[in-house]
Amino acid sequence: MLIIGESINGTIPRVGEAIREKNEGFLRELARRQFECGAQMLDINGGTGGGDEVSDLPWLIELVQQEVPIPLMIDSAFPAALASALAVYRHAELPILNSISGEEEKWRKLLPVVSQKNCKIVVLCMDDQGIPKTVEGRTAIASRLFDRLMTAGIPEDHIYFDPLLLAVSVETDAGLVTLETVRALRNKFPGSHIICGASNVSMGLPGRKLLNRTFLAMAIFAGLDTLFIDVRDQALFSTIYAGSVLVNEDSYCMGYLKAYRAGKLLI
Amino acid sequence: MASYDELIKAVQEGNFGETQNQVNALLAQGQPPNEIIQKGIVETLDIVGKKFSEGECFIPEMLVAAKASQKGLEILKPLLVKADFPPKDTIILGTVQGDLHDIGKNIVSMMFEGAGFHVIDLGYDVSPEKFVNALKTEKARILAMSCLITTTMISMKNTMDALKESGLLGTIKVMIGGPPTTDDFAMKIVADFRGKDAYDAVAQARVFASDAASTK
Repeated sequence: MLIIGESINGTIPRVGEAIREKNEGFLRELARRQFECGAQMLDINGGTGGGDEVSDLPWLIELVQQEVPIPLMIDSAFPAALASALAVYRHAELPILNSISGEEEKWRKLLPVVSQKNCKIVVLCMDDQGIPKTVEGRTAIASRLFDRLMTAGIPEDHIYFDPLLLAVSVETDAGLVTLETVRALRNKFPGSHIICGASNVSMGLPGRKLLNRTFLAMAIFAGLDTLFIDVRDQALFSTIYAGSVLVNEDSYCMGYLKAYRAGKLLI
Repeated sequence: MASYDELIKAVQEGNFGETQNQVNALLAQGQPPNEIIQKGIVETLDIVGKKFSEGECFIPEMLVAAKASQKGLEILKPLLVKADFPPKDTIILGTVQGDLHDIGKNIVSMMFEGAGFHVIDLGYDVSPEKFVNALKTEKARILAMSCLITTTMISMKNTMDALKESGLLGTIKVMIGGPPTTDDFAMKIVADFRGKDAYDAVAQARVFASDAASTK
């Protein structure tokens, strides 16, 4: 199970402000805090609306690399920003680029970057027609993109499928469709990874954190192995420890027990 | 015994069967269809919209009320004579180019429909040209644009520019909405209005529609 801290994201207003003002102290603290909470990788998204991602993103990567010793996920909608960030990346473990999808234009611009094999890649289960409503629709896109990545020589272990998650408040089957997509992807691509954020699922409902962590527990059972979360949320983290034990992903329950003794579990 | 209170309750609870029962019973009592729409259905959506604005009720409750109101309208609309109920304005709606977020937009769409508007929902990632074409083809007088992320706000500006080029600007009313939008931003791009939530959007759409009707 890989745990990625999601919080350095310029679309969060306070973080966006810190990026625009080049507030190094705030951003370093945010990186350190997530590392200390147990993040094994940090997502870095420099999109602030007002800024220039092509220069902001590499700046952020450099800053975070100085602060924490873990690999990074490089997150941008702009291929040029991803490429410029990749150029300053230093960690021995490969970064994950977030993301590519079946949208043709994105694909054309990013495939050359991914083909150099100095990064892993998140693959969104959507294309130019949007996000399919069904499990079959999303897995069909995944299969198509998987084949193309294989043709380009990308190792299957470098692929992180994102089944995508919508709000249950609007489509009541949104949670179930994603959970079943996770299961289908897990069966079809045992050598690849599955990543998913949880926060979309609870949009528009009260008690969002409860829904998010319950979703994640179910998704872990369905085969999710890469978690994209706010690692500072102790209840959420506790659910992940417990979930890992229950699907036999925590050898001899050692991770769970260690977290328990460290007082990290919210029971 | 049928009453407006009972109808309002049924719509709010999203009880489709009871909504239709109450509508039929009110009709049997001799209540005019347009009054049932006003005092029963539009009124309920107002109540629910207001509660949503105040954080007292949530998206599914709004959706279910909007759906129940459509069940009621299925019975009522065919009964209306044209003079009673002129067809409401058409609203062209969509999430702007580059933005794939449509949850909020879908709710606004439902609320518009519940309020009796004819809604053409263009979906998400809608280009300025597509907005312009739809406005022209549908002869619509209201455009509603949404975005969720700051990086796509520029597409709202681009759409306004396209409206200007096409000569539509000034002949239609434009409202924008979505978390990153502000009143200032709306002013800057010369949009007529910025809705802070679905309820706000519906209220303003009514104002637009009555303005348009009075200048016809």
